[in-house]
Amino acid sequence: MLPRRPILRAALLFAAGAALISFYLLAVNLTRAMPRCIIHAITGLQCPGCGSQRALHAILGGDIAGAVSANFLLPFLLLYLLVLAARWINPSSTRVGRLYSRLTSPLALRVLLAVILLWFILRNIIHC
Amino acid sequence: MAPAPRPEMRIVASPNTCNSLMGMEYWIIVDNRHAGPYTATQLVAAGLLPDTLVWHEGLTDWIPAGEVTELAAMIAVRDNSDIPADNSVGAQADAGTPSTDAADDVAQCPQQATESFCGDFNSSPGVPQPASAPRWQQPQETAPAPAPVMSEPCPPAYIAWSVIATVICCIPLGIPAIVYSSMVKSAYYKGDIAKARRYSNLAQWFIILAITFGAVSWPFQIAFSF
Repeated sequence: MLPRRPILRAALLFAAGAALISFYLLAVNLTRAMPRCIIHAITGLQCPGCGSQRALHAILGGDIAGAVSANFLLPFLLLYLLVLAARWINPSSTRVGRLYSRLTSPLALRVLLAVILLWFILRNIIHC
Repeated sequence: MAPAPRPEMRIVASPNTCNSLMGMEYWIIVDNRHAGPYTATQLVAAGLLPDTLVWHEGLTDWIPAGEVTELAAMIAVRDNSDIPADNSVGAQADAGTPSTDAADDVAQCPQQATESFCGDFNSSPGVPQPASAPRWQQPQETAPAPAPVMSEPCPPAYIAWSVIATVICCIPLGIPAIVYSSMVKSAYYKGDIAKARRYSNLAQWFIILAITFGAVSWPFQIAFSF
C-alpha cells in the first residue's frame, strides 16, 4: 500500500527517481555507450521520445539548452510531470489542485496530444 | 496515480438532511467521485472552489462552480471576508446544532425558506429523479435534464504514465496511450462509465506495452550502439 502522508510520498518519489537515475548512469558507464533506438536505426523515423535520453543527460548536467535541442518537448513534459507528481504528493493542496485540474481537463489533454503529434510530424519533416 | 482524498472538501454532513431549506440542490465531482446532494451553504462552507464541477437540476452537463451565479456570489463573499473555510460542517451538524444551519439557510435564501421539502427528499433518497421533481423546479424547464447519476469513481486516466510512455524511446506507443487517457474523463463526465472504463483499460495496455518494449529492447539497443 502506498503511503498517505505527503512527506513519505515525496520521499518515495525522490528515492524512485534517484534509483532510476543512478541505475541509468551506471548502465551508461559500464557499457560506455548511450543506447541507440532500433526503430530509428531501421526506419529513420524520429519518434516523440527520440533524443529523450540525450535530453535527460543534458538536464542532469545542467544544460537546459542542450536538452531542448536534443528533444524539444522533454523539458516541458518533465515540468508537466512535476505538476502531476506534486498533486500526487499532496492531494489536499488547493493551489496544486487548481493547477492540476486545469492541466488535466479533457481540453488540456487534447491540446497536449495535438502539440505532441504536431511536433512528431514537424521534427521528421525538418530533420530529414 | 492513486486517487487520494482532498481533506478540505470532505463533507461529513449526510446528504439529504431535512434542515436543508435551500431551493437548489447541487451535486459535485470531488476526487473524480460524484457526491450530493448538498445545499449551496454546505458547499461554500466546506471550501468549494470556483473550478469544482457542479451539477444541479436543469443543467445538461457539469459546469465549474464559478459559472453558477448563486455559488459564484457565495464563494466571492466567503473569499472576501477573511474567515477561513470551515472544514467541520459535518461535525457541527452532528453536534446537534441544526438550528444554526437552518438559520443560515434562511438568511441566505429567504424567499424559498418558507416551506420544508423533507417529504420530497425522503421519497427520493440519494438520486435526482426527474419524475419526482421537487416543487421548486422552474416551470420553464420542459424536458428533464439527463441526471448524471453515478456513485462510481472515475476510472484512472493514467495521464502521468502516458506522458512517461511517450518520453520513453522507440515506438510511439505513448501517443495512443495519451489519446485514451484524454478520453477517459470526458466519457465519464458524459455519463458513459462503461466507455470510460474501456478507455482506461486501453490506455493502461498501451502504457504497459510501451514500457515493456522499452525495457526489453534496452539490451539490444546497447548492443546495437557499438
